[in-house]
Amino acid sequence: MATEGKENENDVEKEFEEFLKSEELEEYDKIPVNRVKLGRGVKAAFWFLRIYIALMVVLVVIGFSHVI
Amino acid sequence: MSSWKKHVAVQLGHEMEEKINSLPAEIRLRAEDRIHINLHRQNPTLIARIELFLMLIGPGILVMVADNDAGGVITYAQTGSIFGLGFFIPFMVLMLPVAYFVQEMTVRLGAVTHRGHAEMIWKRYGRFWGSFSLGDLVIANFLTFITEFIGITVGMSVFGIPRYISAVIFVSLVIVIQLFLRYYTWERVSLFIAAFNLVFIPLLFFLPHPSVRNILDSFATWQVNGGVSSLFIYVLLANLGTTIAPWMLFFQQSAVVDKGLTKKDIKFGQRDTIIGSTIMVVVAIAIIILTGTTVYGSDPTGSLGITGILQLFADRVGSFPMELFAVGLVEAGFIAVIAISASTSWAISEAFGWRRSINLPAKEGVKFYLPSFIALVIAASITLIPNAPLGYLNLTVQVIATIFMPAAMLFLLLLLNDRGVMGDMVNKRWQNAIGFTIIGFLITMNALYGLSVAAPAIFNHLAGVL
Repeated sequence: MATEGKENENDVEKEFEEFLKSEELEEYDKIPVNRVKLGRGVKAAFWFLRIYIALMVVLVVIGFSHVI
Repeated sequence: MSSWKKHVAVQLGHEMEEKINSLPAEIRLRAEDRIHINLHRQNPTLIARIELFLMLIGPGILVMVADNDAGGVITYAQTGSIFGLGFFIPFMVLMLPVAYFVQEMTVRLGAVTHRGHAEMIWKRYGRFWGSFSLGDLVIANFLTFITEFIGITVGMSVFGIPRYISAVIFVSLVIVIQLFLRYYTWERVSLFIAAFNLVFIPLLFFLPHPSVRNILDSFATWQVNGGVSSLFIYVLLANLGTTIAPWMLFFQQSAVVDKGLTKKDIKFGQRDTIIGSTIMVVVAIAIIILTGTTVYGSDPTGSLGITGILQLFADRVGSFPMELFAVGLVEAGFIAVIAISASTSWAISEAFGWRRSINLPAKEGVKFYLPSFIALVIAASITLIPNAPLGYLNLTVQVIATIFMPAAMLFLLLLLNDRGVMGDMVNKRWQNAIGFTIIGFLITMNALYGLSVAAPAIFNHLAGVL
């Protein structure tokens, strides 16, 4: 009787784990996401982005100040 | 206990139910939704398949309809009133695949990584770009809140409701919806509110002489009425900004994660996004036709605000259609505030590693909900300041969204090409080609805007030539 209870408990445990796995619920907050090492191309793109954003922000401020 | 939960308990047994109850609140509610989906997936009947489809769609429609926000409605209305039925109708049709391709990438990224956009940028590209993206999002969302409340208060004023009362009512409604509805119900209620965005389509039947020929001609000629001026570039940029915006990336990816979509659900997410993009573009075109047919010619410089446009619209087609337009404007602001508020909460919590989910009960999610509520209250208060340049602010918000979009798109494309993150779900070549073409187009448009600010004389000359 005790063994049967234990087996039933194990089944539920297994079924629960399978459910979590099939619905990817256990993966939440568990897959590690690490900092990526940037290649030259990406580094160059990021520098372009910095300059582009600085320039555009200045232009928006100029544009807005013309209207106000 | 709800009937489906009883059903689930019978299907899976009470021990299993106890196990699920032992999970943290946000995961438990997500697990319950997933059990429901799991059971439907195993049921081959047509009704079960339709129900499964209806359960899995949501984020795509919601993001696209929320993108037809009050700022968007005002922008489209101004576009029609300034430029009529020419260029912008085929341009909006072109925006359909653009919006779809951009947003579809967030579905895959969210379903594969189970992480939001802010978290992915922060963890993968470091604190600098993480805080830049978050700062950009939070500022843009805050400014967008202002435009939403402009729309809501103007729309409600048509029904004689004073601005401050409308502001209080809608701030309270949004707070209640965010705090007391859990993800699945929150999404369904939001979709119900979003359905009112369609009100602009039947309004077309009120137009006295809708010129179908002019609409069709616009596809053949792409004519820019009034020529290519700096105003045209500005309005073009504003239309681009209201069609694809950084907050949309953050919102849909986080919504996909919070809903619990998995790799198996990606095709549903894609269909969801197609439906949403189509609704967005059809509604946008309807608004351009509405004002392009009735108000065009009265506002060549774009000086008419939305109040002036509504007044002229009422003069031409009557007060009832104008009231329906106002209902659409209020709905547009309302649904966008709900979506953008959620997007702000998700992004801030993802960046700082706080618990994050619409499933979080109010008590457990103070950090999650509070920042966006504070932004909401301040933004609503700003719209009550007399003589603030609200009309121009609205266009500027859309322009700012367009300016920051290439940065957001670049991170999206980097992540979608990252095998360490996406595995075999990385972008295919043609998807990258489309993605980089969109970035190139955005940067070109922004450069043209820069030129129109730095040297407006060039565009004034062009207006005379083209």
